[in-house]
Amino acid sequence: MNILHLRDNRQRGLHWSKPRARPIETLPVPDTLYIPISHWQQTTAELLVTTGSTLYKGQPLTRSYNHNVIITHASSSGEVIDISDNRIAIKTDGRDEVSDELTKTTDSLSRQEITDIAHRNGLTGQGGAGFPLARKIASLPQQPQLLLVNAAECDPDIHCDDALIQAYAPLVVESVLTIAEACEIDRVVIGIENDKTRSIEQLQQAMARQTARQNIELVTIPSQYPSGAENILLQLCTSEQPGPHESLASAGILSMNIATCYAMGQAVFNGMPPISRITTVVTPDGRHRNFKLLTGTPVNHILDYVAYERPIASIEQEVPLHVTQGGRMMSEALDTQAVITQQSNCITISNTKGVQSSVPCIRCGACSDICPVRLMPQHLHKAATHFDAQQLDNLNVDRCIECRCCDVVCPSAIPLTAQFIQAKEHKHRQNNEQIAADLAKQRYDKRQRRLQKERSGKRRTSLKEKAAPATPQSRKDLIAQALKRSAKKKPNDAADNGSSH
Amino acid sequence: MNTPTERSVSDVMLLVLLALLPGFCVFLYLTGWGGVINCMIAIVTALIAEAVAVRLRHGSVRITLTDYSAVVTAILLALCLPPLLPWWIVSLATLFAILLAKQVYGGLGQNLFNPAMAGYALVLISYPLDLSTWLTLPEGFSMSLSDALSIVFSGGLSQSEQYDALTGATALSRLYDLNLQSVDLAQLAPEISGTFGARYSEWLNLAFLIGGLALVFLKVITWHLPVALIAGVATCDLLIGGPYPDLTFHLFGGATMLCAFFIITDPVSAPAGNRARLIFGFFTGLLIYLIRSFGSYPDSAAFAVLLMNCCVPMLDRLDNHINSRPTR
Repeated sequence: MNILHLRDNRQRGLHWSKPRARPIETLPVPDTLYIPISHWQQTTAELLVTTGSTLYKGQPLTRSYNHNVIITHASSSGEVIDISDNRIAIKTDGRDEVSDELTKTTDSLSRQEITDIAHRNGLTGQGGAGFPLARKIASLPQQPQLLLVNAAECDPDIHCDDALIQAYAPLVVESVLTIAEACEIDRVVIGIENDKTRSIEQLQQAMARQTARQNIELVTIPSQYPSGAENILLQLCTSEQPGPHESLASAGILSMNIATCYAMGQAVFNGMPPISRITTVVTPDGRHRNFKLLTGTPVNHILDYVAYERPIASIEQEVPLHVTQGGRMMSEALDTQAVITQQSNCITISNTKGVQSSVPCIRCGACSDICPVRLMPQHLHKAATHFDAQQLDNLNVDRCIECRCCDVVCPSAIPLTAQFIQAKEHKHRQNNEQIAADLAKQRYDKRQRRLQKERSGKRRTSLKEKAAPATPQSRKDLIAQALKRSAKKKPNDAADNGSSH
Repeated sequence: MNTPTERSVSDVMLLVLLALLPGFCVFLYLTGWGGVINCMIAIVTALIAEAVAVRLRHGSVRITLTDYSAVVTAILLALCLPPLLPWWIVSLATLFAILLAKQVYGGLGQNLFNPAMAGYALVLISYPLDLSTWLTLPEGFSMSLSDALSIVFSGGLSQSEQYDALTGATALSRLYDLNLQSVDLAQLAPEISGTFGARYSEWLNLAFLIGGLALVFLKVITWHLPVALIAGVATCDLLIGGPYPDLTFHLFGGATMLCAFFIITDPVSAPAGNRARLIFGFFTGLLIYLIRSFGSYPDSAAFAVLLMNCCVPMLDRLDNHINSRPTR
């Protein structure tokens, strides 16, 4: 019973003291890599390789003109052995030969050029959501105000960004400046937790070398979960608050994870697409290690390697291991087929599933006190249990950022966040159904009106026909009538066009 | 690993029990074996009742009993009851608290009224004589256990042959009696007041205050409810209080501190938001003072709490309404 650990700061959230990030290690290249192929709705990237093609490191595998489709690259040299719907299997040759078709850039870039580079290299947000960077830059308004670089990784288990900054601060800073210049953004802010002293030092040194260029503000924020969430970081760094329903990009704020900036730097200065990333691996004994992993590395390869170095007790005892992507707070279960992608910031290996049985809510209010977006989870819980859509709306369920702080502090161990996610989906589904039903009703009403019109119209014409039986007209008469009609119409048309211009 | 380990419900309840410890010790010193027997009967009855009810509701008996909420209810109830009550009054109060005030509403977290106060109010209304018969304080274990047991199991103190020899009035009930006779209160101050509060119960209140402050410090409860309650009592005293009894008499007399730190802070039957908590606490304090001074019962905490419990759904709604307005 660790009673005195939760602190109540002005910015609400959970506080952990984190160990310093361990240095980056590398794994041997796995025998087989599985590179995922991106889909976006019905659009699939066009394949550039076939089974048996020889590949070099960094060579593009797909092509697309759609910014939503992410172009993927070979992360090591080898041969394509299998192509399925959603991934390309590459048998590596272990030589790790780099493609000689990589294009480096040294000139200053325009916004169009940097968007192209982002698209061509298949850059995506590396913080977790994986939003295509090209689309994000393209959706910025003409005069963007702020480049917000997110160097805060608030989850207590994730250390990859810390490790990245300590190793590559100069490249990161140069890349940040290049992006800002290309997008013509005057204000650049890097938000980082105040306990990452080593990283802050490295960044300051790197910035000192770039004084000739634009000024970067380095803002330190309290080390607290979930201050790495985009909107919360924005508020902490600039005390601006984003609108409720607009994306940051459309509000003129380009928010990028620091790892994405690094990947951008690699793409611009070295021409190397993002074929690897730094991932924190949390082993069952609770320690963390940082690895530079190739995209498409099977998770099992990491398990084998980590287990080989320090035998994991549960492998011998044949207790199933649970592998999740993400840290302690936001995570999703991975299956045995899973591979490392650009979004894999953390892989957690554990031998317990950690499911607690919950007891009823005692309305203690701990959840309301911790909620970083100031919701009232206990009332939401009640509303979600009975699915009271009106009440859920009143309590702003849509503003929940799913950070799981309330789950952690709940003395009754109620899976609140899961419940809210479910409620949100349910609400969304109900909304869609309502919209569909409304449309169907409109369609039906229109059809009814049309049918009625047709019926009454028919009756009228039939009456007319009875009253005045059509007299056969000669062709000449008809033509003359048509000419008269068009002559009448023309001046009107001209007037219409004129007024509309 | 330095995770902020979440406190489970049973952790919270255990902390409350620990915080009750100083008050409990003073209570036992004042009431002797009578208090011990009351507690034992209440705890045993509460556990059995809870187990049976959960069984009938197809819940897990083990999980329910180990959340210790029934024990907390039983002890809070026993702390209100006078010693050497007939055993069945204690049992009845506990059964009512657990079964009708808690389990029929759906068990832990669902009850509208504070179970301990509901149980106490029931027996207070049903057996006013027994409930107002207090031993001469402090008893301090001067009576032997076997004597105490024989009184408890043979109809209680009010039926006892030694009634006159053993009983005495509490400060509040003495004050109440004197009020009825409209005697000049200031003359009788020495009879009912102690060093700084009401005679004897000042020490009990002080002990509850210490335990309660520990709970606030450990963030088991927030400061809002106790502070608001004390403010409520103080406001009343400022507005309508005569020359005597003074504010400290009200704060350190009767069940004020127990109520402020342990009764109204029961999260289930109190409002959830801090704003609503302030209102709830303030009006409870107000009612405590008003019923004490003008009502027909010497002490009033139970009625004040139950009356305010009725308002909790409304206060919650009000709070929600204010909070759910868009923040921009």
